[in-house]
Amino acid sequence: MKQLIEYLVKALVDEPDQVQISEVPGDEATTYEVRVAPDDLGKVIGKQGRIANALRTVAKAAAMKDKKKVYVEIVA
Amino acid sequence: MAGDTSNSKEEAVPAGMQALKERALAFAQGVAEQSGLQMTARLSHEEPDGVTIAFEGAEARYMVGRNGQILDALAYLASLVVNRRGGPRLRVIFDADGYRAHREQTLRNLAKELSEQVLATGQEAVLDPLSPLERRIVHQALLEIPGVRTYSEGEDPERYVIISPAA
Repeated sequence: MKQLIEYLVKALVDEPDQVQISEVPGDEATTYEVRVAPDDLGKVIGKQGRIANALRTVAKAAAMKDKKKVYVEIVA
Repeated sequence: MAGDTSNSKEEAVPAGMQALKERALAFAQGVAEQSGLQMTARLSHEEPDGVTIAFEGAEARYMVGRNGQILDALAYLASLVVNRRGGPRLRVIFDADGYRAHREQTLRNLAKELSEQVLATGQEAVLDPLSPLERRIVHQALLEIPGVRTYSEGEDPERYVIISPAA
C-alpha cells in the first residue's frame, strides 16, 4: 500500500526526491501521511481536492483486498 | 525537400502521441507492480489520440470499485502524469477483469428497456449519474431507436442522461 501511494505521488510531483510517506497504524484504519515539496502541494491536492480524492480512491483498491480501511492525508 | 518536410510534419504528431502512449502504459505497469495485487497491465485498445489499458490477473477485479470508480480515478491521475508537459493530449481509459465490456452491455440493456418504457408512457426517464464515457454509450445505444431522444443535464461527476419522447 505504501509503495503504491508513493509511486502515484512521485509520478505527479516535480520533485519526487522530496516525497515522504509515513504510515500511521490505527485500530480500525491505517493512515498514510503524504509530504511533498511546498511547490508540489497543488499537484497532489488539486482543485477542490480532486487529485487527493483520486489518490484515496485508488488506494482503496489495494485496501479492499486486505479488507482494511486506509486514509490518505496530505500534510502541509 | 519540400515533400520531406511535410512528411516529417505529418509524422510529428503521431510520434508525440506514441511517446505519450508508452508513458501511459509504463505508468499502468508501475501501478500493477506497486499495488501488491496479482495483475499485469497491457494495451488493449488503441486510437490515434487515446488508449485503453487493461489490468488482467487473479486480483485485477479489485481495481474496478463501485461503478468503475477506481478505474476512473486512476485514469484521471494517469492523464495528469502523462499529459504534464502540455502539447497533444492523450485520452486514457482503464479496464480490469473485463469490466468495460460487461458494463457496456448492462448500459445498452438498461437504455433499451427504459426507451421502451418511455415510448409506452410518453414520460421521460432519468438515469443515475454516469461518466462521460458511459453517457456516450447510452446516447449511442438509442441513436437508432425511433421515437426517443437523449440529452444530459447536471455537472460532472453528477451529470446524468435523460431519455425523452422525440418531439
